[in-house]
Amino acid sequence: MTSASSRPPVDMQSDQVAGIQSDTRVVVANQWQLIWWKFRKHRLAMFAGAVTALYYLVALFAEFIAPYSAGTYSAQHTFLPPQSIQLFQQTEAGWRFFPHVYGHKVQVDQESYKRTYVLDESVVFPVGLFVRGEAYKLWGIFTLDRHLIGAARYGDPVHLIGTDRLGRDVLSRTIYGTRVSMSVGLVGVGLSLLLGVILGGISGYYGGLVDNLIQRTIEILRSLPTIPLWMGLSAAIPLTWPPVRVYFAITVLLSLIGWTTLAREVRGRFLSLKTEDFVIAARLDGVREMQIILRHMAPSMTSHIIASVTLAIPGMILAETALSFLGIGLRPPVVSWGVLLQEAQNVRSIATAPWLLFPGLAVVVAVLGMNFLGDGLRDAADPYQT
Amino acid sequence: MQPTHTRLEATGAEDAERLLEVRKLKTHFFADEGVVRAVDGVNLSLKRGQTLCVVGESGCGKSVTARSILRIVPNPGAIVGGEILFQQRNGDTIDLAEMNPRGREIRRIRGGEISMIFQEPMSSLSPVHTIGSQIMEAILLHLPVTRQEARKRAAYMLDLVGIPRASEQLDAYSFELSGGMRQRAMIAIALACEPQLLIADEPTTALDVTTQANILDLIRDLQQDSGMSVLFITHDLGVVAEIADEVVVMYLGRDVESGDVDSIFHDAKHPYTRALLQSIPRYDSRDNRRLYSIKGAVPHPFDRPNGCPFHPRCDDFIAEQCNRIDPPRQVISGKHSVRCLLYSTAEEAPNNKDMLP
Amino acid sequence: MIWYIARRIVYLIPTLLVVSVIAFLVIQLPPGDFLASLISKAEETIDQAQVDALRERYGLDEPIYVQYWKWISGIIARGDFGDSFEWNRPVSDLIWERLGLTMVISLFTLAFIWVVAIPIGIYSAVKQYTIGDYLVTVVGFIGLAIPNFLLALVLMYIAFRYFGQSVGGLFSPEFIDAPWTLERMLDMLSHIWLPVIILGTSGTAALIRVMRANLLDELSKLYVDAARARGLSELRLLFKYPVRVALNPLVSAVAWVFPALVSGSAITSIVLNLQTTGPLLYRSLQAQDMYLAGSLILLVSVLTIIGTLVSDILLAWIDPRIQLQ
Repeated sequence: MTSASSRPPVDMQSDQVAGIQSDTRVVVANQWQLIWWKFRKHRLAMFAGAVTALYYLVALFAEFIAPYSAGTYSAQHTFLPPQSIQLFQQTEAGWRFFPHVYGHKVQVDQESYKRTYVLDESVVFPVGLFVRGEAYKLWGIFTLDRHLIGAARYGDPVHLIGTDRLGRDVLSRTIYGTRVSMSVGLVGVGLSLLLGVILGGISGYYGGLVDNLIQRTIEILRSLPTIPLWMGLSAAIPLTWPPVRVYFAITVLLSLIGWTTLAREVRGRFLSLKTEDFVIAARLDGVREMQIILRHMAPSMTSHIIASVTLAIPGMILAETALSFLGIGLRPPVVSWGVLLQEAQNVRSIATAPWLLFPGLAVVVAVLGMNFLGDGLRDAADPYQT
Repeated sequence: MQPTHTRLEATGAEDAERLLEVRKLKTHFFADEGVVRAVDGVNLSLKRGQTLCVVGESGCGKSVTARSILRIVPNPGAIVGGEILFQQRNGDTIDLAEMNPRGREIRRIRGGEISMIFQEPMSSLSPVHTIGSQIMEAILLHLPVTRQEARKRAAYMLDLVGIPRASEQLDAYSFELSGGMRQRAMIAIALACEPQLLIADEPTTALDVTTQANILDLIRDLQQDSGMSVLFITHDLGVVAEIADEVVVMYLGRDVESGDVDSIFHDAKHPYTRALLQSIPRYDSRDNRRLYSIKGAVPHPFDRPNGCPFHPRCDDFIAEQCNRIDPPRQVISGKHSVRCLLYSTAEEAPNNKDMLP
Repeated sequence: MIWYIARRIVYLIPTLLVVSVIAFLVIQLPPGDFLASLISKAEETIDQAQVDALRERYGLDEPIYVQYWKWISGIIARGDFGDSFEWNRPVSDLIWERLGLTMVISLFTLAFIWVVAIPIGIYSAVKQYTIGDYLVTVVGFIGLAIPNFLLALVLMYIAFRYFGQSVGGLFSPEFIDAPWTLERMLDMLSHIWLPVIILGTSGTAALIRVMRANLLDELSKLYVDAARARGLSELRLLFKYPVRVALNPLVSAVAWVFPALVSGSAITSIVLNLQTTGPLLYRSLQAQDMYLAGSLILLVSVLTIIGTLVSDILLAWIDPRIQLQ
């Protein structure tokens, strides 16, 4: 603890009056405080952490944040291009704050009968926050009709990121997709973690034949090309299964192959901890094995495991996206980023409506955020190291 | 005391004997959190064929001093002041501190005229190259020989440092040798081009006691045969007693006391030196006193004490003096000098103004 | 060294066994036996004798391990992977060229990854905390975050929108079904760069980070100082010692980059319409053409396992410490 007291954190130096108190606080600074202090210095990781938190908030409150429900469609507004928000409007009195979007006119090409939208600045749809819109049930419990953002007049076609071939709002669908995709990552990693910690722990702690066997298995799994395997296994999921069961089947599949990285990490930590003096001391004192693992070894591994988990989630998200994109992962009516990207599977549809790639942007930002966050966490996970 | 500068010029005979002269060397590290003054005004002087030991606790700047001489101070460190005068084989004296650390000139010195061996023989040899290739590399860099001759010389060197079956071991990797053998191999590399000066940075610290003795004997034997000088860095006063001709005691980047080995061991002046000597365990002590240890610890590099750097740990601390005045260097007798206010005389103090930082 | 290789090859046997079981599992997974789906798909009625012959051939009335044995021994002894029902041809007729192309693309990509990642990784480590280093880091992270297929879509869109051409495929139309000639080879080389870049992006980003981290580790090692103290020039020093040591983990990285490449090429090939195993596997899975699908999974897995083996042997060859373990 001396290392902690020799360098007080910045915010305590101003705390002159409560000098004694702050001193005691410094002395008892536990591992998590040290990790937090170290992590806080890592600006980019802090920012990435905020982005990740935002994603999970969106996932949690998807119904409220999305202007429309995931299934709402409008036959008159198919492939509507994104409308950009104009914050001010020019009137006789000058500029006034009036967030709005412009409407579109449809032009039909006489020869090819192709419909194109032309911006029509004479039609103005006001946009507002906390607007009244479609009614929804938040988490299936509370019936509400307020939306974070949307058309100020109920029924106006306001589609900030445009619509797809059925006239569904891409932004809303991406927001709903966030819920599914982010949770697939979380649940999948949760399952992987369970497998990884149990098998990796056993492997690292007992060593010998068990270790050898588990390590061989991991090596075999790691040398397999995952996507063809996933393709093969998920193609076997019956088409008749309900969406929820498909969802769980896919996450189980993802974690069945994804646990190896975490298991390796856990094993490595176990091996190095096993020879630490405090573990040996505990063993010489006659502490029971289980107690040693839970009381002495687990706490010093937790921070590392959290970092590895954060780094494993993006992999899961990417895998789900890829499978669903191919149509052998999650299937409509479930809305995930991968399912949404299925709409953009070939050049022709992208050429007509490039905004269909928006869910892809959501994927990239989410993965980027979690990678940076995980990187920062990994650096901070060992606060005693400088 | 007169500034060393003038003295050196005055006595030409001594000048010829002097191989290395470090004057007021300052090497600082510019970290994000502030400047670490790792070496802050060190003076050393080493004659041909002699052994100078630099002693002190960990973190007092011994290694940085050694690295400064070869100009291999790691980033973000840099020499910010002082001179490192070195007399080359051709008789010219050059200032190593002024050289470009990546330049051709200093590279000719490194390994050719000054060699260095390090604390951990395991990590100072490349894990993926054979011992032979690393010796030959040094030979080919500095001597005008063919590869075959270099290989022959490499085998000769391994034999010289007492590695059995030398010509076979040329193709061995470092992980195939024991710790003592690795340090012997390092010495072989260092001496392959017959340098004038060998810098040994705690070469025995990582080895077990018997091996330590063997390596020390080896260095001493090789020194006698070749007439090279040795700058030996250690925290082990037992080693110092065994091999040193002269000693410099360092504390927080300063030479607090220097002199020949006898005056340091039998007539130590600086409280720090005396404390170091007291903390050597003795087998012959009759009473069961606790082993002496210097109170406190080496301060954190960022909060270096004012005045004499040792004053917070000093038993003879003079209030309002030691914490204010940076003690000048004071000649006790002959080569023996000390930096401590206890030995400062009022009339001499003004002459030493130039020693103040 | 020979012992080392022999040991690695012995280790290979259980791996191959597991892979074959998994592939067999994939064949067996769809509900009902495949003869039922064959009969339902057949345009004309298949006579009972034919059905019985197939039943006999695949051992469908026998326990599952007998079926497995019939399947695997057929492959090993006669190279008989079974028949594709959709194509109505033996599986082995369909897969070899595609397997070859998968291999070619993967190897090209591997080469691309190395050629790009190593110098950038070295630069990034040597110039740590400079603007260039930060730029490399950020671009690398972005490269890691973009799924291959998305990158493929975006590049295809850009090519289509701004250059007015549809990229994709490995061959110009006139060469698609042509036999192998020098022209066809050159045609392939002129098309292969796009999939190579797409597939290589995330691997490159990952290896840059690995290289940078390794080299930073090595740069602070004592043997670097020792070599510098010997009088070696900075550039020679850099390449002879720390870079050389830092390359070792990069060689072993092939063991995980290669499976990822083969894996990633499955999806990218579907998007870019390349004649590799990916689209064939995709189609066979959708059509429940299970012998084809199972064989493809088996062969692609075997391919990556061999790739891993080669990288292990390579590593042992360049790093003498490995053989000792």
